[in-house]
Amino acid sequence: MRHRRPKLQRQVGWLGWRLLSRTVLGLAFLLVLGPFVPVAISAFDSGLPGEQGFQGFTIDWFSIALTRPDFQSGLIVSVKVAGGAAAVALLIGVASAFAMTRGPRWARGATFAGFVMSPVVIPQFLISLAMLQLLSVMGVRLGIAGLIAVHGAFISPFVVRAISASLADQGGVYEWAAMSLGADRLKVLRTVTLPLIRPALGAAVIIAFTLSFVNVPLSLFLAPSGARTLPIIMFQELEFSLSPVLAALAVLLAIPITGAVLFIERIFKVRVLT
Amino acid sequence: MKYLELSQIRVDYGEGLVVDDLNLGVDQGEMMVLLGESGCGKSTTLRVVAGLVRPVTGSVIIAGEDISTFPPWRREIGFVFQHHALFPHLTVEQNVEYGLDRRSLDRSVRRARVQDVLELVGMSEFAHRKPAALSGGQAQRVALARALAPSPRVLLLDEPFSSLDIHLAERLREEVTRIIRSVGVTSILVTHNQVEALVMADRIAVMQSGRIVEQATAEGLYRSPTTAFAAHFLGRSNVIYGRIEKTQSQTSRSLFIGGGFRVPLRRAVGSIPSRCAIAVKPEDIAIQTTGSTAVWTVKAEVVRVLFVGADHELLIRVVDDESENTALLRIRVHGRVDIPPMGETIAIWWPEDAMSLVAIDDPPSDSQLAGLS
Amino acid sequence: MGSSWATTVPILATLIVIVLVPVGMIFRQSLAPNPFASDAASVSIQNYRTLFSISVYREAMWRTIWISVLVAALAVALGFVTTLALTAFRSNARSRDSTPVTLLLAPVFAGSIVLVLGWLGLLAKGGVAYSMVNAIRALLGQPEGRVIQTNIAIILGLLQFVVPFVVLIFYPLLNRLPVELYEAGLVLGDTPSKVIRRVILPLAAPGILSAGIVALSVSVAAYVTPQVLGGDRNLVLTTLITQLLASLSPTTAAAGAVVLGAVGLVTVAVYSLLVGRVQDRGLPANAP
Repeated sequence: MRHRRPKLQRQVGWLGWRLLSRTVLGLAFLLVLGPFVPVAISAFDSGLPGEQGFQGFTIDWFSIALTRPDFQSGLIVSVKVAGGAAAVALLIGVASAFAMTRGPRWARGATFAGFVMSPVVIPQFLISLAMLQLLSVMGVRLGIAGLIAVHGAFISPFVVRAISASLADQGGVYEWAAMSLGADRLKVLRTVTLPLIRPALGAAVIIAFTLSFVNVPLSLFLAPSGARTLPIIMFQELEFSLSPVLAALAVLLAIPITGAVLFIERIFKVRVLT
Repeated sequence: MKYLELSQIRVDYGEGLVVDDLNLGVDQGEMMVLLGESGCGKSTTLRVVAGLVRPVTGSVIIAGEDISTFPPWRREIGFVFQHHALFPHLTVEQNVEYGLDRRSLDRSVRRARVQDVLELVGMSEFAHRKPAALSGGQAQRVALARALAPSPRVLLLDEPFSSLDIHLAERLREEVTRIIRSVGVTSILVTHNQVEALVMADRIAVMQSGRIVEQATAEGLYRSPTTAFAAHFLGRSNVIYGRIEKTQSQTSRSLFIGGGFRVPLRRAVGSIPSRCAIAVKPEDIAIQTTGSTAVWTVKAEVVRVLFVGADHELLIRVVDDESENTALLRIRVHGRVDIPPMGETIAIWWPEDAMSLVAIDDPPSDSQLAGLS
Repeated sequence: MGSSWATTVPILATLIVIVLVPVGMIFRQSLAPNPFASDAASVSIQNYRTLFSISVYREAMWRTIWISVLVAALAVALGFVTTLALTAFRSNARSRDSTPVTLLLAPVFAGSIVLVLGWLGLLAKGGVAYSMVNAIRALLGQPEGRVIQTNIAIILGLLQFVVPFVVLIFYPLLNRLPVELYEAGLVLGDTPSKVIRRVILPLAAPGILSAGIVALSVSVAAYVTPQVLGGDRNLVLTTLITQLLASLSPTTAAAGAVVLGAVGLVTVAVYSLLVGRVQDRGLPANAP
């Protein structure tokens, strides 16, 4: 039985590095998580924006947020879009991941990998705008189908990243074993490959759904005015102050999302984010 | 006082002691081998010496200087890792030069030193290659050069040959032993491979569960182990549990009873432990043939025969009359002789000085009493 | 087991339909002399001239550039040291607790609306960031004033959004470095900071470049953050484009979009060249 080796830092005192790393770590967490605090506070604060200090505890904002019809319809649209986008992202992402690990030779190289991951660096704002112009020039109205397609496309790199670790890890060894035992290609796929990547797929679905749900730039121009996603509704409502109703809504959304993402790796027993 | 002294080292990770009250002394220029199975704490001990692990208690003293509180970069120690750990972005030359002090030695001196050490390990032609272009054995040589270049006071090696294939490991360890002796640096090598330990060590310390069970010279430990664990680990001795009685006969002074047989001993035993064990090497057990000079024999049945190249290894079960917990023994028969087949009953014996009385830590379990340890 | 080239179709088709065609169209639109030109063949660079001649527009583009570069640089530095703080000198990459890193990724999954709401709270008059920024201003001899709708606000907001992306890129890279590399450096006489400088930094270099590219491109293309936190007084390229659309100058807007696209293209090209290398750049094959 191998003993776990403890972290070096705890074993030997190194002042300089520890100081720097702890300071930076603290700063990073402050920067990254700090802004969530006023949102949470304001959601329970009975005072209106502009009134300084905590006025009193209330959950009124939450009940307003839950009952507003535009929020509710926005939620439904967002869920529909996110669901569709996750499906599209899975389709593209799984195909690309297979291409990168088991496809033709040129697909396993750096160029194709670049294409696959490129949506991360393509400006979503630009594509949203350009697609809108294209569709209006062509006179086509796609409704949320277009939105779903575009969301799915931009989220696919995250799916690829999530499952390519699993695909590569298996290294084809199990597949060779199955084939040597007489299984044909389809059977191998069905009984060996897909089950092996299933946990990663599960995690990928949740990640894709979440990323689509919270997306703003793509929905900005492409969401039809009759069917706006929840973030767009929130954005259009947003004036230059922290509206408590929005804050309450944000808190309501944040809890399931955070929970899902934080424990995704533990639930599915797979490393997709890290 | 020894050149390197570890005193009362204790390492605790919170899940139990990994190293428990360890004391070790190494003479200057000596090659000490820590031998034990995975998880026994030998690698941790090595890292305590290097300063990479801080013990809960205990001290590390080199040449009279207590370096227990020194951080690893001030200890002047060389370390060779199991998987070379060469820096992938630097060439062989640059790797070896890494530990040389930039401020006090100028470039030409450093260059010369690097070349000397590379030549010592036989890797001069590879000076400009990157580690990725080296084979396992070549990389370990460079790792050794890198560790030796700064002229460390102590050289530590953590299972350096474990990741290499057998033949390469054998060749390399002979060379490495030669190199280290020529440099004369005090060294500690950690391994689980007993042949490696026997070949390379001046002294061997056998470790189990964070403690040193026994330490002695290689030959001493092999031939006359004093603990059951060391006897079993080094040389795969047969360890037979039993008891000793005093006798008053003319030919023997005591009697060992265990494993289903009785062996008269000429030596006198001082204070008699109620339970003890004897250890006999497989190659020291002989099969009685006509004309042999055995004073006593034990009857045994051949259970299994294995051909292992230079020897045959037989597994035999004692079939003496007072059978309770008869021992299962392993014997080695060398060369091309007639090997008794499976099922045959043979008579065996062994010279008294091939038999060691070994100390046992805990009361043996029933299977140990049967000689099945 | 090789699958056919069919698996490469989805992404390639998607890229063509969703990127190439629309952007091509926008490009053509940007070359039209006026919004009402019915003559499809008429080509003019008037829109670009307008874009670069009017000072407000030029300011917007310049702001985009310097803010993005600043944010990218800060984010890469912060993200790198943060990831190091979580992974350096530690053994056992597999059993490492991934909760801290996942927490750092929260902004990506919270969405820019929530983030921006948060900054509005911090940067408003009673907020913590408001006080801190004004304290710094006081030190520099500048007058106190509002913090929302300033460059600072945009920078802070973008930083919070970009750092997680950077960490997402660095973490798998740094997490896989075997602890023996660190140990070797230490035993050979280097303090921890020196080990990081001489060993880790060079090994992480392609990752740093890659992270920088992503950070740059995310900053340049950001919309919600500069819109809410910067407002109309501090335009960047994206908010400028929406302004142009709102004021019915679609062709100039198209020109702006093309500029945005050009920046995007350059970053895509550089990133594509790097991605393969970053993935290939394994560490010693027999690292445990």
